[in-house]
Amino acid sequence: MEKLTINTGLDRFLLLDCISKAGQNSIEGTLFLSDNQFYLGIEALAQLGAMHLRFITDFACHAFLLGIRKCSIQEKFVRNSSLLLSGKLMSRSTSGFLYALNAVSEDKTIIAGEFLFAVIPYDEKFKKECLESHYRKVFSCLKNGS
Amino acid sequence: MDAFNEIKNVIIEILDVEEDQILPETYLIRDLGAESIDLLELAVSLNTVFKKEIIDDDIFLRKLRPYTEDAEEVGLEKSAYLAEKYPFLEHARIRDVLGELGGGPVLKVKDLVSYINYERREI
Repeated sequence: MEKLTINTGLDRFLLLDCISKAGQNSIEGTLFLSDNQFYLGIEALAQLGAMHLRFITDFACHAFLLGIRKCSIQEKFVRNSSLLLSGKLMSRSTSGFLYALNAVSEDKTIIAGEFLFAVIPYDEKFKKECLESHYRKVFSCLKNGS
Repeated sequence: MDAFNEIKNVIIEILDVEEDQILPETYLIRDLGAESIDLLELAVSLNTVFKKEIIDDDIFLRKLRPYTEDAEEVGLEKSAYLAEKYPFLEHARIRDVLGELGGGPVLKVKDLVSYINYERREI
């Protein structure tokens, strides 16, 4: 099979700069964007939602984004700015979780959407021994600013 | 609005189907083409609408086949075992389910209605 290389131009996968608050139903974080790459804001919101889901399930299962129900993006994007990201758990079942996530810059909502996540038990593909400790560490670092 | 009509509205929105396609006897997967992601959306929407805990494995009868196998393995009567696992289903429905297991996914709209009505009952 031919190898396909995708260059995102990013030097990291994790976009979140920090998690400032995390409770049972909500989470807040920040992301600094140095260019007009609003799509990174969407990815950062997805990362924030998934991180909250891992947090409330005590990192006991694999969490992932299933889909984005709706998402509005303000056309005029603020360059070189810090975005305040926030998420609220709207509703849930045992394995599905719906979040309202939004990104705000200078009191203006830049991105707002409803993101659907799911959890599945760790398995051979998503190994508990790798993922659980990894995400615990990442969450702790983001929360403690380290 | 009763549970059936509220559930019907949620299904219309998520599966983008016409109102007249949804009857209590309609199969969600066989007739409406619901996929697993649709069922998850449905579960969280039902949680929003009814404010009741939605256990995906139960409401979507996900463990039906393993349960029947378990019953067979330990020599229990299947319908009694399923009645214990799915207390929201009437005995007649359990008999029907067991009779059509070979024909594909058995989940019907009326099963969701039964689950919600059972969760809403006054204890």
